[in-house]
Amino acid sequence: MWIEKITLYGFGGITNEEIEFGSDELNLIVESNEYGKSTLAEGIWATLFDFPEHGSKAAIQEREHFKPWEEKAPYKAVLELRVDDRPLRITRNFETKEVEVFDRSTNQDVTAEFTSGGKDHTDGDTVGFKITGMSRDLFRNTCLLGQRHLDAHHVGGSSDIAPVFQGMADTASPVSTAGGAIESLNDALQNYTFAGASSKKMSVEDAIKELEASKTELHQKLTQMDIEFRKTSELLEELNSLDEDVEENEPVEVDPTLASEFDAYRLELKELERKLDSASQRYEQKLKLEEDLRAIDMAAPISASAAHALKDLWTRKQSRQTDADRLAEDITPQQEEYERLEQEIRERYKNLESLTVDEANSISALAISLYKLQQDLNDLQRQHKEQTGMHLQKLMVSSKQAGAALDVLKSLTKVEIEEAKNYSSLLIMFYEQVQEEQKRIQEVKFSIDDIEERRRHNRNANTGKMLGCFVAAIVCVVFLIFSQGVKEIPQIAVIATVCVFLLAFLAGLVFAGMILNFKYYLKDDAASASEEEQKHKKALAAVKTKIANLESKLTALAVKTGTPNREDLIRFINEASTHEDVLSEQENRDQSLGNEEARMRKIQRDLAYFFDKAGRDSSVIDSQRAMDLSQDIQQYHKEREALEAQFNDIRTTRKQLDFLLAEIEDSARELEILLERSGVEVVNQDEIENKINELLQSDVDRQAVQNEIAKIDYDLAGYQDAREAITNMEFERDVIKDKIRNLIHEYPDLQHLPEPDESAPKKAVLPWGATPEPVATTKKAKVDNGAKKEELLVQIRTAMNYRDEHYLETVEDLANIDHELTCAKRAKLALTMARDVISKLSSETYEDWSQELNKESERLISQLNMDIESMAFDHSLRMVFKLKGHDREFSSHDVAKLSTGTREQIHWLARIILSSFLSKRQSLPIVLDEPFSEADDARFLSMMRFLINSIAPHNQIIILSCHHQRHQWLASQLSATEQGKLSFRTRRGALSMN
Amino acid sequence: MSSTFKFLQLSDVHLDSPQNRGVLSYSSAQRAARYTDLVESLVGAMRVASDQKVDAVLIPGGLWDHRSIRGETAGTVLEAIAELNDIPVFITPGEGDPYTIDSYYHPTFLAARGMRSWPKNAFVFNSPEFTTFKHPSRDDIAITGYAHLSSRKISDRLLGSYVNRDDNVTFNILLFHGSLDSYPGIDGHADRITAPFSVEELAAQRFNYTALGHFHEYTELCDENDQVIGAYSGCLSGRNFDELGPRVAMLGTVTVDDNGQSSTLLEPIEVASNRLTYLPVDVSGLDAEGIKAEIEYGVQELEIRPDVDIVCISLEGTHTPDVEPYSIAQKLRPDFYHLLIVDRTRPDYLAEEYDPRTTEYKYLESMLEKQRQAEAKRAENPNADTLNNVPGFLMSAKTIEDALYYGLDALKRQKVTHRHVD
Repeated sequence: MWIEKITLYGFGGITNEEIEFGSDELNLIVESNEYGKSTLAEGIWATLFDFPEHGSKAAIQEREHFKPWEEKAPYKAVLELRVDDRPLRITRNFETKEVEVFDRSTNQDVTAEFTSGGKDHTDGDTVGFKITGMSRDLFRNTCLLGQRHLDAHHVGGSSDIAPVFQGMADTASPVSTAGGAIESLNDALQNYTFAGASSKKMSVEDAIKELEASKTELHQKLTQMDIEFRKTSELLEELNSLDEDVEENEPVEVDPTLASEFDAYRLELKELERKLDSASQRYEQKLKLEEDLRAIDMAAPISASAAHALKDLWTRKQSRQTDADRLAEDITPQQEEYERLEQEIRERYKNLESLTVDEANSISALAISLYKLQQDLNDLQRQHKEQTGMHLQKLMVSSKQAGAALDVLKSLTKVEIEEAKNYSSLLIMFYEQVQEEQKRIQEVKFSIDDIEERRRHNRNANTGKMLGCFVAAIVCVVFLIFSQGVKEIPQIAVIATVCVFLLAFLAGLVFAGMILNFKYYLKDDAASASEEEQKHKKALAAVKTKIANLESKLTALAVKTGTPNREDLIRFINEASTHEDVLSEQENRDQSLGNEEARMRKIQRDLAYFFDKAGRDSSVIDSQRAMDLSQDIQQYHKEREALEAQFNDIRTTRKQLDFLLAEIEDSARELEILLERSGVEVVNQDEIENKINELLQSDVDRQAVQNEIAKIDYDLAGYQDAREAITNMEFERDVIKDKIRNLIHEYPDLQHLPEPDESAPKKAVLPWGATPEPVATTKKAKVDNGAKKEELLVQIRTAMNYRDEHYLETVEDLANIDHELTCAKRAKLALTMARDVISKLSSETYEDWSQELNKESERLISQLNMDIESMAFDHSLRMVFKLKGHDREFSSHDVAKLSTGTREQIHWLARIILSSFLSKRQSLPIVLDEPFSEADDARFLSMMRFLINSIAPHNQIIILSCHHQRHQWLASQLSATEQGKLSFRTRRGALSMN
Repeated sequence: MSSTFKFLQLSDVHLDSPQNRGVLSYSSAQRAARYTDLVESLVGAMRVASDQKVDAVLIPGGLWDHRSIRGETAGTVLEAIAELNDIPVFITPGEGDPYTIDSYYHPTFLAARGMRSWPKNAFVFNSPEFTTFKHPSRDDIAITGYAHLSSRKISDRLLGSYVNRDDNVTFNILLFHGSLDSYPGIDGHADRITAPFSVEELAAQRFNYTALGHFHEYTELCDENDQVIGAYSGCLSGRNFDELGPRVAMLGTVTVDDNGQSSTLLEPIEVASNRLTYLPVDVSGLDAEGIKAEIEYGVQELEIRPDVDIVCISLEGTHTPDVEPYSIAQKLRPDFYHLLIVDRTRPDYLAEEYDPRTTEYKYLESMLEKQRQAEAKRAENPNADTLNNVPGFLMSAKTIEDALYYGLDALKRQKVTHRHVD
């Protein structure tokens, strides 16, 4: 994609202006500040994509921000571009949010092609997306590179560019990364906010536990109230029965069928009540045990899962300890001999056991380097002494001259000195131009003289020709006069003579005319030469005027310094430069000597580390001592190896022992972590066993209660839902009671029947219809039940008052808790899912991006002549790079330690790699706003050359800058071909929309 | 000469029934006010009966919730009925307020609690068999009914066999607490069915009128001649989102002409002082003013009376980050007597443009796919959800949608706000 022209009819501070861009050139817009360069860059993306309608507040306010300052100007822009060689024009009205895409090759409106379809979650206007192949945010953050992108400190004060890349890969924005998102989700999991105005916060896990505990508590409360309610029913029944007074000892007879039915109900009722009692009792026991279990859990210093883990770890540790003790006993005799010999070696090579063979090799290598460096340094010092002597004299002379010059120049500012230098250079150039112009004027004069000479020559030739013609005409006239008297002359000869006469006469006249107008000959050449002469004369005059100006400026500066004339001023400036050069040369030499010394000190410092480690004196280090140390270490290891070989058997056993000890240590560490996580502090290691036993006691208790619950569950296994079964049995009991009551109500004598015998077989109804003997019984005595009634009433009223007060409220609270619990569970599931999916997808994205970025990096660096040798991105998009002249690799953390220029260069390259990767599918323009401001001249030139030669052929480059001189200087440093690729662009007025 | 029987019918008052349900969550004081509202609606109905000088008040069940009714409330009911003096009140206990020994219907229980007994004008059916009461002052009226003696649902078709009537009276009225097979209301769930019956079965019983209770929507039942043979008056006051808008008691007049032809006229009367209303407001694309206007429009459209009604505004749809629908709705709180706000809105993240190479895009696509799969799974098993522990089911589409927005919140705003709506 190439941008050909952008016209801003009204956009921020720009009204009715347009700017054209070249395709495979480096488009430079070099203008002063406040020119509107950044507005122009913003105009490009805004016309492509329009302003965001969704997203952050700041993003939505952008439309308002870029409204035209001029009130009447339409808020509109037109972008002419070429996409895959197809010329398009996008006209966007930011006010009405209308867009039109026009194919300039076919003169057709193709808006529909770019605004319909697309992903189902994007809105209708997908012009930018379809043209660039990337979203608005991604385009803005990759194709528009401002100085802020290259500034090491633009991301939260960190110089690490990895978060920027991660942000781009995650959200197309450098400020939001998946890591941050995961942190937020974890934070939400850890700080659950309850509904309503509650400020209570805890982890979702704890919230669920708390809510479940509250729910269970409320359930229990309700169950308890329900049990009380059922008891109330029984009490009411009892109360009812007390109200029925009966006569004592009155004999009655009862129908045996009725009596049998009555007994059957009573037996059934007894059986049911027995079952009900048993089930209720077990169920209540279960509830109690569950409560105990919760109490154990609440009181337990650690959770059940932690207790299990603790138990496993503790058992494992104890078992390993037993094994280790046994092995240690087995190897003791040999071990003692081994230890004695080992001790001998240790004493002989004191302190060397901490140094490895690799370290010995390193010491040896350092010793050699130190030796060589010492030699080099000696040579350098010697040379330096000689050179210094030689240069000293030159320096003295220079210094003498320069001293005066420097005194003179003290009165000028740096800028003025720089200006004076420039003026001087320009004067020399202009003098050369004067000479050149004068030379050209001379050449033109020669040319004019030449023309005059040729004219003269031409006139003489014409005079000869004219005379010849006239002579011929006179001869003809004479011939005709003399031929009057001669008859023999043929007529034809006379006619021919007349013709010759006429021709010669006419030709003579023509030549005469040419002689008179000789200036027509070479008239154009003469005019051209004259014009050329005038032009050069004008140029000469202009140069002379410039010279006069510069001379007057230089004279003014000379006057300021008190120098008699400008020539002296220039001389002083040059002398001062020479002095600086000499000093600089000497300084460079000192510096290289210093560098060598620094290297030597570094090696000595490195060696000092090993000397200190070996417990040897590190105050004086030379190569010989270092070599000795290296050899001692190697000897120590040889002897150790020999010892190990000799005691190979115990080594295996020791390995096993070490393994066991390591396992014991790991277990102990895990135990510590577990205890710490569980909030248990163990100060004294000796107490740990007691402490753990104490902690595990709750687990033992828990296990005991769980066993009890399991037993009850086994007892209640016949019921699918014990609570429901109890309710059903109660219902059945009530039904039977009702039936008994109805029977008594209908046949009051039944109530005086004795309790049925559970062991006696049921009496069969006789099939032949014989009437069985009536059952004789007596009525019970009338008793005074006042006290009992009173007691029942108190119980009923107490229970019901309590129920009135708490039941409804508990049900309502339970509904709330239920809702909150559902929300908390859903939140936990959803937050965990979001976190896990983002984490997984983010890792995949980073991996994909790192592969693509590394490919681009390799390609681009091969074309770039900069300080960076290689740059790669790992699977977390962290950058690793190598600089030329450095052995080691640098990570993005190290960037802060580098110079500003190098830092800018690294960040710039990283961004270019990113832009290049993201615009792979569609070659996109890259707009650089004030790039390389921190780079030195060499780097600046190198990077610009890279842009011209490597990037510009693929991606259109637009550079916005306010450094005019720097880019002029750049132009002077480039080859003719490269210069041809530089194109300075500027805004110009456009036809008004109005 | 024709004669008439004028009555007031009401049922399913569900006094002291729990009010909290899901997002419908009241504070303690609000709940107390709601319990009072229900009692006042009953008292109001009694006042109407008195003013209209009806011949009887018919209550076919659902007067209170057996498990949660409080003595004080029951006492108020007894007093309100006693106030009617000579107007008899016929009550058939339903499965939610069964006639048991521990019920306020039972004299033993009332006596044990030290409360007054039922007034002489109250006639509470206490037998599971159909029994008939004669009207105390009009011997041409007989009221037949039965009582639920437990909270168990009755699966028998009680109207499937002949129900005794008093053939010596002009008006045979039936009170029946049961489920009409063809009931069209939204509360006609299968698990609510008790004592089922059909229109034909009821018509076959040839009662002049049947006062029906149990279901909560006003529903008239007509025979093949399009004559009203019975009706559910529905619940007296709304208590949840299934019982929105005006709820009524029913003033009825049964007329029997000289030919013995019976006809019934019914007039619903709203006696509750307030209504429970539900106003869904789609905030998509609206700014603060737009949301306010939408709420105001909805209030007018649904004929909500902000100064008396209980209004539940459900904010739905999507909004831009600069619009906070909940805060906007909150500002309207002073304009309402009782306002509940349920914020179901989502930020309009899906309307944004995402680059396919980013994690954000992949996340969005992945979650939408998971949501689609969950919805397909839900279609196979409508009750499945991780939260109700249906085995083999991964996660509900709603939970995945929550996850989607939690994730996008975190990616875009680096901040996550917990959601408290189901």
